[in-house]
Amino acid sequence: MTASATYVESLDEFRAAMASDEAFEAWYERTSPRVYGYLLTRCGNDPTLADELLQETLIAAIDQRARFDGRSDTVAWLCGIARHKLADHFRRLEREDRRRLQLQIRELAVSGASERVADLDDRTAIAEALRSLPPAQQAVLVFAVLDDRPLNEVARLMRRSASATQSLLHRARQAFRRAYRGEASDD
Amino acid sequence: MTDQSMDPILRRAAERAIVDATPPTLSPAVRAHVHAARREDRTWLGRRRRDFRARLGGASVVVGVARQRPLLGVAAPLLIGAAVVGAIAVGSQRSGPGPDRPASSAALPAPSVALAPSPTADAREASGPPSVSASGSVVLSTNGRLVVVRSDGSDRQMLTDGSVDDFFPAWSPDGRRIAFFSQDCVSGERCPDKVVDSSLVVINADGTDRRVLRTGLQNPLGLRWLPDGSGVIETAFRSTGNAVRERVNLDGSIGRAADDPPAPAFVAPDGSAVIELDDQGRIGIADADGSNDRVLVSPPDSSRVLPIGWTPDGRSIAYLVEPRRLFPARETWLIAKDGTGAHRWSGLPEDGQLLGWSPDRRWMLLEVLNGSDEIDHYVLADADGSSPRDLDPGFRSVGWTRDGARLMGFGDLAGDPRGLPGSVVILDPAGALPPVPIQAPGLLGWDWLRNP
Repeated sequence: MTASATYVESLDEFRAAMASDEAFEAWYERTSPRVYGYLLTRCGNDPTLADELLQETLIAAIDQRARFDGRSDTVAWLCGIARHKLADHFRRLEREDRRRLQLQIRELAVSGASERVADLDDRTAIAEALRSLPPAQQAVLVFAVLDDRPLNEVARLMRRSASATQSLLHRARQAFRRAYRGEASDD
Repeated sequence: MTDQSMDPILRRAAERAIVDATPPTLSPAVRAHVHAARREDRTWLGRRRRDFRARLGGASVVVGVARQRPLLGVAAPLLIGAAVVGAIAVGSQRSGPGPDRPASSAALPAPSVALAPSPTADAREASGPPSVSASGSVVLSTNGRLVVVRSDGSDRQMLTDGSVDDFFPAWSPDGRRIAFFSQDCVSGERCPDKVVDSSLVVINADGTDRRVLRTGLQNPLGLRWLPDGSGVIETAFRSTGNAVRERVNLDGSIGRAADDPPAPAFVAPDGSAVIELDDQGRIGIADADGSNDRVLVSPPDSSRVLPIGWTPDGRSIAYLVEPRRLFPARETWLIAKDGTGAHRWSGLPEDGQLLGWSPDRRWMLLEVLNGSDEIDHYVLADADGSSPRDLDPGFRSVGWTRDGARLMGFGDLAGDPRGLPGSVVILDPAGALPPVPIQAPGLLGWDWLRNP
């Protein structure tokens, strides 16, 4: 199949999905597991939050349907939108919850995190560790490591300079390692 | 060196989760949104609104279609007459604004094309940065109502009451009247399920003396005033299914419309020559009187070319080269006016795509794309590309006022489900005046009038 035929196929698929309720539901069942999974792993395995972000992503995709021209797979396009919704979410968290999360990190460090990690399966431990980080550190790990986006793009998503983002990524990796291994914070 | 030892652990967990995730059922909110989208797609105005949302901020595209038949694109109706669609917001600035900024040297690596440097501080003070002293008024169509507000955000006045849907307003040259289209629908719904003809209407600048000049217009594309203010050139479809451009005089008489003048960006700064995109997709150049016309740029194989405009020094023409595929990566090119030295213009600020220069050719505007080829933000720079400053990424489209005195930034209003822009910011490109935010839910057209 040629590249252009693939583009047309993606575009036709999305257009067909908008044509009727049944078609949209079928399209949703095909595409949402991957988008939902993408969101779930990037918001600390919080299903409520992932659900909310998934709805925001779909609504944004419907609003911007004229911009989708089939160049990418529809799931990739939806994940691109979801990434922006994630960035918005992390910015909100950073604005509203910075002080509270700092307190939570200290509590986690004090309460014997190493014992908790031993009792949880690996994936849950990873999610817990990620969620324990400040929002900005969560965001930079999600975009730079999980999504493997270029640093310049991550900087723009997070509205910071490239050097500040690089520095943040370094701190985030260190903090995640400490949280995952149950080590006390250096702070 | 940054410790990346945990990266594979993070990624493995993410990959497993994607396989195992079970999404929630489709929510009623999303279903309702799909229904609303389907209704929107059924009407002309709904499709314009949908496409307007999807615009990538099209100063370059808008300029490119200005000389073509008015059937093209979504940008055409929002360019003709008044509403150059786009929005930028002045965000963080990397260099100090104001008239005392030191002269900037040419910042772009184009050895065969040297743009004139930005005016020196002395020159600026001698002529006065126009935007510092220029004030004006903006007329907006918001939720079907025409509203006028001063450029400092004060004295907001409603000119029409929204009982019908008034849109695409344009100031007369003398600022005494406003022409616009009007559709007899409930303004909040914008005629979702029926096609209703529009009329061409004129009111006084204070909202009085509402007069219908022309009826029976379908799918209006745009309007502009004649330079002498004696009438309006409007473009709209007719019941025959054809788009017609027509001159409508203030007394209601109808005449033949002369050809549209070339877009200002296509006219050389000294007025001696004009470029255009011909019917074969080539960029041509001619003397101002139309003589000595010749082809400047022919599109390469499997690509097309779109003119952006003259460089401020009048020596070259900037244009886009766009491969003919479904989502092309555009390149900005330069060519001297004598047809020599065509080359790709590398080194633009942030590797952005050039949208063009302000109407007064004092400023350069670019769009920067993200990894998904969506517009991430806009960049404003001096005419030679120096002193770039990022604009607020919250703006999703940008537009110049016709005199270049102001940038208009367009963004969303939280909670507005219709997707039209809902907020406007009036920006001074020199940065001497603070941004002026204006609430304008359901924005469908605007125009700027500079105070004398």
